[in-house]
Amino acid sequence: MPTLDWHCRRIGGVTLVELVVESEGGCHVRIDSELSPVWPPRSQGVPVAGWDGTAYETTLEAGDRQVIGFASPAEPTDPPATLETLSPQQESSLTPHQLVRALGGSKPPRDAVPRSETETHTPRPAVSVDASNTDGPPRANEDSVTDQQRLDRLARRQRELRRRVDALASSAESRYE
Amino acid sequence: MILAVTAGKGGVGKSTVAYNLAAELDAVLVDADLGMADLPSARGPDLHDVLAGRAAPVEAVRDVGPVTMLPCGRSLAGARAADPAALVDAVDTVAGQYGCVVIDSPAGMRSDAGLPLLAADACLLVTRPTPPAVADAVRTRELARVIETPLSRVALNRVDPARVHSDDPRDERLANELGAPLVKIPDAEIVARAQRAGQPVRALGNSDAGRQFARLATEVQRVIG
Repeated sequence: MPTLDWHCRRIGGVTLVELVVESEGGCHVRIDSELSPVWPPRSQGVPVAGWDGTAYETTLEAGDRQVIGFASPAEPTDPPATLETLSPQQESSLTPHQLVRALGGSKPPRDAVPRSETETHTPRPAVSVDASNTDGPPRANEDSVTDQQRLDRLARRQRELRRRVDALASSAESRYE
Repeated sequence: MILAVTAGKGGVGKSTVAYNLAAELDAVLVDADLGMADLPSARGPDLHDVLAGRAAPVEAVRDVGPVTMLPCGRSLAGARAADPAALVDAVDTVAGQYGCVVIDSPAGMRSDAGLPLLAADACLLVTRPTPPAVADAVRTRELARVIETPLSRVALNRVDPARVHSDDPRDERLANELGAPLVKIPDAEIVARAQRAGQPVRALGNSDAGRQFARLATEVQRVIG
C-alpha cells in the first residue's frame, strides 16, 4: 500500500508543494492535486513526463521512494494532493504531451519573434472565399516578408555575438602567450 | 475517419497527394504542416489560432475552392503561440462535425510529424522512387509503428507515366519494406497544372493521374472503413 507525505511553502504568492510517495510493493499510482491551477515542472515547453493537467502518474518499484514537486498560485491546502493506486489496465496510453517530450518541440525560437508581434497577434476575421479568388499555390504574403526581416535581424545579432565571443577568446589567449 | 498523410522528407509531393485525396474523399483537409505552407489558403482564423485557443476548430474550417480546409497559420508569432499538443483534440472535433479528415502532416521525426499520426486512425505514406526518399520513408514508417498508427497505403508519387501500370519487382520490394501496398501516381503535367490552378486533378477532366488518386481513395477507404 503506497503512502503519501507532503510539505508546502508559500513564497511570493506561490505555493511550492513537495510530495513524497513510498511503496513497499510495486504499484502504479495517480496523484491528484487539490490545488488549482497546477504549474508542473516543464521540459521542451510541456509538463515533464507523468504530468497531465492537475494529475501526476508514476510507477513505483518495491521499496521505491519518489519525490514530486509542483507549484500553484492557489493557497495551500491540507492535504495538497490525494493518492490513488491504479490497476495495470488503468495505465495511460500515449498522450500528446508525452509525444512532444519524446520527439522534441518544433516551435520557432522566442528570439525570432519580436515582442510587439506576440502581443498584437489576434485571429483575423473570417471572410467568405470562392474559387475565383483563392490564393492557389503558395506565394509570399506580408507575414512571410516580415518574418524574413526578423530572421535577417536574428542572423545579424548572431554574427555580432560571435564576433564578441571571438574577441574575448583572442584576448584570453593573448594573456597566456 | 482521420487519415494522416505523411512523408519521410519534403519534396515528394505529400501536400499534392493530401489535397487530391481530400477532394476524392470529400474530407476536410487540415494543413498541419505549420513550417511549410504548401496548400491554398484564405483569410480568417487558422490552425495557429485554433492551437492557441483563440478560435474553435470549426470556426477555422472553410471552403477554399472545391476543397474544405482548415488552413495552417503562416506567421512566426502564430507558430510560437500555438500549443502543438492541442492538434489531437482539434482534429477530433473537426472529424466529429464533418466525418472525414485528411491531415497534411509535416515530414520528419519531430513532434510536429508525430502528433498528426497520434491524432489519426491510420496514415498514408508518400514517397518517390528514389533512394533518399525511400530511406526517409522507412524511418517515418517506424515512427508510425511506435505511435501505433496503422499504415493504410503507400503512395509512390511522380512515377514515370510509362511505368504506372507495369509490374516492377522493385515495387514489390518497396511494399514489403514499408509494409503496405503501393498505389502509383504518375509524374504528369496535369498534376502540375492542377496545382498551379489551386484545383484538384479531378476538376481538370479525365486523366490517368485522376484515376490513380481515385483508386488511392477507394483503397484507403476500404482499409479504414
